[in-house]
Amino acid sequence: MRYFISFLLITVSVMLFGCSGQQSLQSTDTGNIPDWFTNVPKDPNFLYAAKTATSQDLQLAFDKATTDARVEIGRQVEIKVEGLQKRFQEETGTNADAQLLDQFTQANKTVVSNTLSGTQITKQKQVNDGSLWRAYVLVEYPVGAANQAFLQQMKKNEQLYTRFRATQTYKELEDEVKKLDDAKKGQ
Amino acid sequence: MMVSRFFIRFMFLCIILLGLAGSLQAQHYPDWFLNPTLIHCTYSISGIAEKSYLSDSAISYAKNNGLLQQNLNNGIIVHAAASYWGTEAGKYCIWRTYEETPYTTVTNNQDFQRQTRKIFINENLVFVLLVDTVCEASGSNVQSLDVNKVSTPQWIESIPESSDYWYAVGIAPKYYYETSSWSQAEQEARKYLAFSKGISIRDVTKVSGSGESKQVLEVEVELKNIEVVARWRNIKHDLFYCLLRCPKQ
Repeated sequence: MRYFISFLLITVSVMLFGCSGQQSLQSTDTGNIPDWFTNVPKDPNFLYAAKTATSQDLQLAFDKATTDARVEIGRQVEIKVEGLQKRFQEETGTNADAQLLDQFTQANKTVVSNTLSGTQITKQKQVNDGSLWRAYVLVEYPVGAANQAFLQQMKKNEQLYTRFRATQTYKELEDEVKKLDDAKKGQ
Repeated sequence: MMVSRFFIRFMFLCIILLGLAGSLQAQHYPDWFLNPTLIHCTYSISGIAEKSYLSDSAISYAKNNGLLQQNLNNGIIVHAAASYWGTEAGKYCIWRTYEETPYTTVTNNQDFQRQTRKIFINENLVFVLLVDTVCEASGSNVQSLDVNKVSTPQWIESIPESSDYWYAVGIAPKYYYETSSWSQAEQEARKYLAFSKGISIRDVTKVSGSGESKQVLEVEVELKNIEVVARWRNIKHDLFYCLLRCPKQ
């Protein structure tokens, strides 16, 4: 009887081991934080955002992390365009021109909501975090593309564009767009 | 008594060996399925189906599945939307939708000119390679790869970049039917291609008191001429990966 019970127990445990095709999350290894997450790359031609998120579903963890990263990039673009707006006001002295300022703000808003075309995940990593999946992502966005979209929006308003063309900010912006075009041709 | 002891030991050994054999089972895949760019043809499609008692049926089914996937890759309109709620305890998905609308039907003139070039059958699946009639795909011997022995490809963590193409990696867990896992990995990659092409995100963040945010994202883009660049299976974590690309212009 004793042998029979031992035999039964061992058989069941061996069968369970043999049939377990899928490893449980708890039993898998935990990875290290990727270097690019702690030291986010810096490049004058790109905006970067590194984010992390967790979920029981790996793909959802990646979805959450990339959404966060894109929101972060959207904020960076917004700050950049706000900086342009400030410089534009300073250069042209349009502080008192409420209508023109409003037009500029509208162009700014359109850029932030529309120009997030071109964001791309360049690095990603998944690790087990207890019973969850943790996804790390690095999303990049070419600055030239943001500038190009901004200029296109400005061109839609002739009055604003004419004023803007006379500024130093415009020249710098156009130089950056030209650099992007040259880089594309060179590739 | 002595005989029964030997018998029990023998049984233990057999069961342990069987268990180990089950857990270390090889997983072979044709190289043209894992690395479709190896096939230098204008058109090449890899189709898969679950193994069946009637192999002819499985092969026909694999061809059909391949054409269906190719139909999606030829051109789709992606509609996606999602909403997330961020709190200090973590980020939660409130809702999300994803829809793909293909441009054309499966049977078009191009498909009639395709021929079955290779068939491969592994432990679970039937693989079929369809190529255009004028293509001279190199070699007739099937090269199979055991994914247990292949090292993790670089593209899993470092996604390729190019000025001409968007690249995206899709991941899927193991489902009862392996074909579902491969198909979902491909769909997830298409979703990320769409997100790269154009995405609108609205974010409202409350910073006073407890931190809270709400994000809503919307996507509506067209994707054309999507190509499968590589596939890979992580046996350890039972995950399926697919690397896709589509032209930026």
